[in-house]
Amino acid sequence: MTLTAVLQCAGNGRALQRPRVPGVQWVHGAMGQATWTGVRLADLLRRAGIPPGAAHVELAGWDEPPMPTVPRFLRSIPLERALDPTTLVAWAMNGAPLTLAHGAPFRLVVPGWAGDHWMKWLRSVRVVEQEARGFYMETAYRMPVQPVAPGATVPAADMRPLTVFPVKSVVARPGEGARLRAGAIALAGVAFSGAAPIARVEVTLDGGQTWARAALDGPAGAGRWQVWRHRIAAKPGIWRVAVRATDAAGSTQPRDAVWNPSGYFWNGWHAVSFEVAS
Amino acid sequence: MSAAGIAFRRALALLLLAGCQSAPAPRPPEPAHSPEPVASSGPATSPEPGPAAIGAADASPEQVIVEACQSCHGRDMLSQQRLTAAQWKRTVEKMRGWGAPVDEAEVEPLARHLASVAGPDAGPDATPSVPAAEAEAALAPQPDGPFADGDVRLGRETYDARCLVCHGDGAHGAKPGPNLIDRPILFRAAEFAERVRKGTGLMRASPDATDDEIAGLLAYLRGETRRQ
Repeated sequence: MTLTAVLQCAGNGRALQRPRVPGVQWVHGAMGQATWTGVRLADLLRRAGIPPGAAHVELAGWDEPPMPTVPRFLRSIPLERALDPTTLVAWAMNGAPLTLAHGAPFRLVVPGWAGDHWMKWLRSVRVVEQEARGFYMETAYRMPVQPVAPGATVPAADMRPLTVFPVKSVVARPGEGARLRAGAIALAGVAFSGAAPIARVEVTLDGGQTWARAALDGPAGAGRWQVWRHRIAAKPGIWRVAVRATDAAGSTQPRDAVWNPSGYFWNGWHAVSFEVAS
Repeated sequence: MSAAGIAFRRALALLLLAGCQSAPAPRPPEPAHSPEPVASSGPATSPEPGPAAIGAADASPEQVIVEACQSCHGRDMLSQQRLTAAQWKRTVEKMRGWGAPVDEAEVEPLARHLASVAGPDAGPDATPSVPAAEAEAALAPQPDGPFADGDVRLGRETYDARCLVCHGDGAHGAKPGPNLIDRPILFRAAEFAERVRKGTGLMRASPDATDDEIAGLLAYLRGETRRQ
């Protein structure tokens, strides 16, 4: 089957966290949307047989850590999510066979969930009773159960695995620092939520005092993005546009994302400044 | 593993720079295992460390970076961070737990140095962005050209003579050479040959490696299987 879904790194936006946290310093680039073709993981599991007591599905890839002393990348997802009809073992992306960079020959596709679940170079799928162990389950890819003060140290017992990515929107046009002519200016970007379809996208030009509703293009759905568009008549000067999205489950992007020790799931308002020349 | 680790790193650096290929492979001690995050980011590329300084009792933090970090990480993985000395110290300790050959006495100076070049006030990160198509092309398999149909036995001998000391038994990675099994570069023969002949980071150049030896290495390494 074929579906369209956003693939986003859990750490997308980490560079925007304050105080700063270690890890790849992603800004907005660790995401993209593609059309994925594969077989439902549920169909594979049912054909293989799901033993009683099974609760999780353990996923391993063919990649090897750089040294034997470095932990292997291993993940599990709950059986319920594995049986979701949108969870695929994919072999094609945008109509072409997966490339090595994208996990050829097979990768998992878990729409709405962060990229760490989308196991690349898939080697084995095991139905098990317990959540997988190891660094990438027990230490990494975990969020505080409750929001914590920026910079706080969080006890391991107060962390849970991250799964569904929160509602988010970004400005794609104009770019930061663009110089434009006065007149009608087209603003555009994307909005998505792992939990639900996008309900609305709003644009502010005054720091959040007033908001205008943007138009949405394309099919709506959880875990896929829609393009938002909005036109303004801009007089000469410096403008700053910010955008926020709300999903059909009622979640709205906060002005400031919730800080967490590994910088996951940044989804604060995205603001872009541009200059309109006379 | 701290003191032994650093002694090993120094000895190895001297060994490599001396071009000694026939010495027996030193066995690195097993490091304590403790979890630690970090993503790798591209191939390690760096200037060669200065031979005179290698093996000095007190390595400069920059030497430690080249010797202990850049076997696995590109320099940009470090330079993009904006961390305090305390955060850097935790990161270095994590990496030591994963086997990075950094001596205990080097941790503080390294953390302070990293905080001075990649601290919270270091300003915008100058790492250029890479177009997606370029990043993808950098991993895509390429034709073997003159390195096709290598002899596995010659490859094994070449591996044992030139590579094993750093990359370990079965090429699964040791100190400081990373794992070579199932790596995309094994299917990018020309790039592999250049890496072998010119070296990179701590890896000594082998300009005399013949086409047959390189073809053999590729045949041998492609046939090796991952650890279970």
